[in-house]
Amino acid sequence: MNKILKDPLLWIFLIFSAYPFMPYIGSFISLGSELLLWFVFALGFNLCLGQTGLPSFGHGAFFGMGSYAAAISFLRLFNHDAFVMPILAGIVLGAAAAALLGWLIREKKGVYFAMLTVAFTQVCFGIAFRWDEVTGGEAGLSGVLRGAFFGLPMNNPIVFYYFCFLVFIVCAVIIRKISRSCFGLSLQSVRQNPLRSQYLGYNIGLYKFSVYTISGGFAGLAGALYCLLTQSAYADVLDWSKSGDVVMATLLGGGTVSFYGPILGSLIFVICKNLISSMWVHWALLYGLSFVIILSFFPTGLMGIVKKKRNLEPRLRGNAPAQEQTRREEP
Amino acid sequence: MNLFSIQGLTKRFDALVATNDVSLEIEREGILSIIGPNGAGKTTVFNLLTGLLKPDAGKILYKGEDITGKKPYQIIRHGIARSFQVVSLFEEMTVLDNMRVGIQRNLGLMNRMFLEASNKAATEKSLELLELVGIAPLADHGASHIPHGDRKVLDLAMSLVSEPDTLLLDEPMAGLSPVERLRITNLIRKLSETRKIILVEHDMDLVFGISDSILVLHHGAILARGTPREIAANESVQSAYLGKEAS
Ligand SMILES: Nc1ncnc2c1ncn2[C@@H]1O[C@H](COP(=O)(O)OP(=O)(O)OP(=O)(O)O)[C@@H](O)[C@H]1O
Ligand SMILES: [Mg+2]
Repeated sequence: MNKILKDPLLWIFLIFSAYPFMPYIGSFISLGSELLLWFVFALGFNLCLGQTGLPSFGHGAFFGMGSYAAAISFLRLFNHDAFVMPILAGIVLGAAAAALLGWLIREKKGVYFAMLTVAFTQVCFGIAFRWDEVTGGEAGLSGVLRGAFFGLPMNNPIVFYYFCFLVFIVCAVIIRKISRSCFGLSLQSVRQNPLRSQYLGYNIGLYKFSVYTISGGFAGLAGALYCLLTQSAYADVLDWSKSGDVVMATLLGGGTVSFYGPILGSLIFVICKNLISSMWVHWALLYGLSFVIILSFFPTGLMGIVKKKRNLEPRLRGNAPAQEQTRREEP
Repeated sequence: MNLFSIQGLTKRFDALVATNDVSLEIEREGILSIIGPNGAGKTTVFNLLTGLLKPDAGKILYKGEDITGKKPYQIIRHGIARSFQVVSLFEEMTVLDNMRVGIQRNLGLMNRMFLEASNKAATEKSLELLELVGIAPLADHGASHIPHGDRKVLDLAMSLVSEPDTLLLDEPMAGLSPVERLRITNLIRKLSETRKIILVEHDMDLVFGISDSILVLHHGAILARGTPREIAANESVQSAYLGKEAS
């Protein structure tokens, strides 16, 4: 019981269950939904970055594809009458695109990996921007409606918020389960020491491919929800700067050291983007600047600061005798 | 059939011939030591045998099967494992988790997806192996926070998780205290009862005391091979070593 009460996810769930009733911020209900879908996006992304050490700038593309898949399937395939199917379409396309890219670049490392994902995203953006018949080109697609889901009127923003909330709970639990599983530990081993990982029998290319696909599915899901939230899909969501956003938010929050980092990071990012931007047009300057300052002094991000404080004491205790013995005579 | 049957193995790094036309039969039992001056190409042979490096020429058969050009993760599945001269650990994990990563590899894929990393079976097996090598009390310490000797031992322990038939040990004694040396010597003896050990080591007392057979490498080529007694009496071996030390 005590253990459950100490679970940060529980507290995040509790806080967000009350979001629509909070003073001031509760009136921005679509902001709440956007936060939740961003949490899903960033948590899924962090399976790549934090867990496996894959610097992917391709997740904006998977997000965008999820968005388009939802819009296109709603408008063309299901004749303006579906709610769940467009979301599933988003997941499938996001995962499929990630699988394709992931397979091609599974053996690439570091900067090469990152650059290839950037290139992929740019290609997707180009296609979405030009291919008028399917994606609506520059004008994008609009007129996506939120129908009823089990009799619940999804066009009501509060009802839709709670739908996103439900999706977030399910995804957060699944993603945490993955990251704490044996598979998750293997992913960490790939990040920390790919050489040793191979020598323990891991086909690390296959692991990178798998996690990339899974993570792309979550990005596609988030994109589909974004399409339903904004009731449209534009090439903008595919732009590589979107990928930059999720990378920055994850790093800022401390995704490399904490499972909850991406939630904190995207909370800050989305609130800045939506609230502060309406007060001050140069908000990105402030956000970018604080990003640089925080990451320069605390490379592990905001959760890194919290963690360090908490871990300091036991670490020191565990270390003191060890440090003395490290110097030994060489043969 | 021999364990390893190596034919004409050659590896070049630009102009440097690190492994020079090495042909070698290795029998299934006992401890084979590979010695040679620094830079003789001992580690390179390990890298070739385990697929980290691709040979420029030559062929490696393991139990009659051609394993040339296979990747390390495939070679491991044939029952070959190695430890590293420069310790190679998961630095941000605890000692226990370092072991668990390898233990879990033996589970099925579905199990790995749904089983918690801290599951009981993996924990018990990990602790059992840590017990065997004598660092179980350090299980919960961070791998980067334990003394060098223990890190070296952990590196060795990690090479045992795949339950290999053949164990390649690359300077397992480097930087160990006398007490630890004794412990690891005994461990190697014990391990050699049930599997082949190929040992690279600079500690000559150990090498001559423990080996069934010794291979001497010099400039990437085989200089001599024989029992410890034969090697000790071999003049070209002595001059290779003395020549090295004199320069
Ligand atoms: N990846 C590499 N690229 C270039 N040269 C290499 C590489 N690996 C090894 N060498 C060179 O090959 C030669 C043999 O190296 P190797 O590490 O096999 O020697 P060793 O016998 O293990 O030596 P030591 O006793 O110092 O460990 C050395 O001259 C080394 O510099
Ligand atoms: Mg060496």
